[in-house]
Amino acid sequence: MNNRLNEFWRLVTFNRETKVGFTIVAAFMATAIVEGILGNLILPYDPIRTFVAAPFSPPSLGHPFGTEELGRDMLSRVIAGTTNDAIVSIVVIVFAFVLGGLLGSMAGYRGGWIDEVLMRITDVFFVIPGLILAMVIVTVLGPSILNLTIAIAVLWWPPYARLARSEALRIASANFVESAKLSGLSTPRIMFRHIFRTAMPTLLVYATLDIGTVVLTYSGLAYLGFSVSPPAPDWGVMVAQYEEYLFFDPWLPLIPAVVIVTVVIGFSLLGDGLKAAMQQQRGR
Amino acid sequence: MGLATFLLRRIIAGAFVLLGVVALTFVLSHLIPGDPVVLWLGRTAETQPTLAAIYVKMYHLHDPLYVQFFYYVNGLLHFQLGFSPSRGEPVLQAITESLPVTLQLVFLSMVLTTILGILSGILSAIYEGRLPDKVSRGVYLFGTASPPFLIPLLLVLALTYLIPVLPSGGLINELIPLPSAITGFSLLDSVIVGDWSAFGSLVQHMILPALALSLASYGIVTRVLRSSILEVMGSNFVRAARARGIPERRIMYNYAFKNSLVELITLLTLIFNFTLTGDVFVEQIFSYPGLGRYALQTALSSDYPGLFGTTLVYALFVVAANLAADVLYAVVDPRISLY
Repeated sequence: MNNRLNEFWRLVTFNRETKVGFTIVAAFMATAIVEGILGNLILPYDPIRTFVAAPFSPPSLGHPFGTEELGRDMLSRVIAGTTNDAIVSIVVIVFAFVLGGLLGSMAGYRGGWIDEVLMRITDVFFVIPGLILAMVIVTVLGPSILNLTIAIAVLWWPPYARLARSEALRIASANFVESAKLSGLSTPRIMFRHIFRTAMPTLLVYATLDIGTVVLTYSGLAYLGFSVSPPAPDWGVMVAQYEEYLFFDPWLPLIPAVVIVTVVIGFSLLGDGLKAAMQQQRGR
Repeated sequence: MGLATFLLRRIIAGAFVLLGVVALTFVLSHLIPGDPVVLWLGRTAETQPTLAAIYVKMYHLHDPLYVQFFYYVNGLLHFQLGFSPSRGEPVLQAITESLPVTLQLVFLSMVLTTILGILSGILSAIYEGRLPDKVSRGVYLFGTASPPFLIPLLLVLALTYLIPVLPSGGLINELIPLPSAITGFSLLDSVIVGDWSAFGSLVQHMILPALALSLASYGIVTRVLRSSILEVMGSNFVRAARARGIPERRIMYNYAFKNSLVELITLLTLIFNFTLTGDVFVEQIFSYPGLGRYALQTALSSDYPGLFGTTLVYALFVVAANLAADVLYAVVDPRISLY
């Protein structure tokens, strides 16, 4: 276990950018987890309660992000908004990773008609802009954060399937797979224990880079009105809610937006670093 | 294999993908909870049973699913997209009105993205690791990490309020009438008619939306072009050219840049997809009456015929863009059509 921790530490501190990315990601996750468990206990103010200070107070020591139209504390609202983005992105990525990874491994290893059918299905998903398709699915299911998560998850797996397939094609001819076959292991066992597992690091790096994209898609759709409704604290919803104050109190819509940018940059720096670290390892 | 066979194969493949999209919207339309007739007609379904019966007959709702699917596809092939309740007009009409608006915006923004991307891509490759390279990496990171509403909002703040030089929204100045529709593309129509005040106003209203779309995406072009140029610059045939004393500038343009073109084409189809997504937000923020705004309107008001119609149009255009890219590949790189 200690070895694994060491290896993990080596990866996330691979270079300066990776460290920055890891710090942001860790802060985002930690906030989401603590906020998810303890709820409003950790917040300076109740994110929904109105008039904790004068409305439209600019950022100050007491209210570092200021207050909004009804005097709600913006810092509390931004922290409380962390959970939505974190939960949606993790659920979507895990779903896409497992489903796409398994289907792709199967397609790559078995080949034949399964492969052909699966790849044609992924083609369909690639020609409809993701956001539009998510909009269609969530409209059909009825706008809510759960249905939005389902909608994004449904369209998120195809790239994982393609990636896993190409990895599987590469791995399938490796000696250890040959020997697994010769020792009489069942096909599902080879697929899960050998192919999928060997493809996992590549998929994981892709997933790290990809979480940011889910955050962007989710917050975009939340902004458009397909998730929770105000005054529920949610980054994308907050931008839409405070958009009308863009000229006179620009911090209101811009702070949640900048927080989103920071989180997404965190994931992409971390992902890039992991990719570089892995390439270096392979090169060794 | 000749170019014609190659293209034919790509067209057939594209048609199959479109059929898949049609199947997907068909499945989705059957996932909508509730009686479709009630959904379409509302309370009228109860008070006017004869009308409801006509709908059942018209959409073959009592037939098995595969029969319904057949009539659905058949209807689509005859451009029967249904009636759009949120617009109070047929879906086809709503799309013919809004599609050209979006297409000219997307086209302008793609041109802008390509120019900016190529220029800064070459600059970053020449000044690898130095200031221009770092700036372009910053633009790339910011563009790809920005939620799709941020850049439009920042542009509105900067160029319509802080430095008020451009109009904040709309297709054209409300006091100027739109040129009469000849092609449907208002920009082109204004040129044909010679209505220069309309042309000027149209362009003025397009600058911010187009800029918003390009700023989000040109960083991607820059990064890919940069790494592709640097890769070619390190290859053996470039070393050979250097050894023969060919000036560095010529190597950059005649060798490195030309070889990166193929990659640029792949990238542009991606950017097209990306731009169509961003366009939904841009049109919403700038009140630009195009397809993105119509799609959003249909989704928010549960206007299913409109929503499925726009989805199909989006898919059609992405398939067409991919096909165009295939043609361009074959033109730019003759080896492609050989396999």
